[in-house]
Amino acid sequence: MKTMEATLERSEPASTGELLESLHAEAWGWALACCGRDRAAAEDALQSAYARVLAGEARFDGRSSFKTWLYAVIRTTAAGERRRAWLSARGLARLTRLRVEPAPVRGPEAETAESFRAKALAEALSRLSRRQREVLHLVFYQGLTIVEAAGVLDLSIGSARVHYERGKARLRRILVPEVHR
Amino acid sequence: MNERDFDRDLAARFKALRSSDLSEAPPFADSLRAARLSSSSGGRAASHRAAVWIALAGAVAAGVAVVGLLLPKADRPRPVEDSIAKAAEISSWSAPTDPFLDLASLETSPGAGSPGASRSTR
Repeated sequence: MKTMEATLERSEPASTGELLESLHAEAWGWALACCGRDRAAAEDALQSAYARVLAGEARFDGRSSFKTWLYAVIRTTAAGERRRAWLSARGLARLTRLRVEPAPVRGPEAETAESFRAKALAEALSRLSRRQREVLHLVFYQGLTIVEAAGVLDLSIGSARVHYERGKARLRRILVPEVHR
Repeated sequence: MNERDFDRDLAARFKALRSSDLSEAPPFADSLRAARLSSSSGGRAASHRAAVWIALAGAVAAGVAVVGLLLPKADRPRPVEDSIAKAAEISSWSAPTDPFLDLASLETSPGAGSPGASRSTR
């Protein structure tokens, strides 16, 4: 990965493609998280982020790892797309649909115990604040440290830690309600 | 469920969500192709936007130039003939109160004294 990052700094398009490909699946998961698990919005955000990287609009300066930099690009791109969607009538409709009925994780035919747990988690995450959801996703789903998550989200470490703790406590209240009764 | 158990449970749930998501990730080649397409069409859209702005700026500049040419014309001095006619009109004009200025026909009453005589000599 270090070699790939070094070639990226030399702005070789093929290497950028290789780097993006190596992170594609995880980046997709992050795009989904940034777009409230809306598949279509996540695909748009991921493609737009790749387009920004390929066009040189977003430049990797080596101050962080390529992964955290790419995640920050995806997050800002998704936020931009959300703002644009908010301004368009179609986007408003999509947003309304998102709040009322979150997209299912899988079709009912693939409903297993594992997918049920995943679905329950997705629904619980949708009830957290955006920041809490993002920090928890980056730590538990992407395996980043809180410090790295703070870098992706452009937050102070203390603030990221507070979002992490509060988000986890709230998830616990939602997922394990009997403890709090 | 204690804190540690909950952390383990949460990690397992996230793992399940992750494997579910990753199995449904769109192929990288498709995303890259779409990105390249949107990158080039984005460039085209940007150049189109730039052309629209340039045309708009040109139209505004032309409007300003036209107004700039027309405005001084309105303030430009009139021809000499106009000034002469105006001067003749002014000099031939008489006010309705002009007859009151003619004092030759007025009679002065005898008790009114004569102009220049002092009060003590009366």
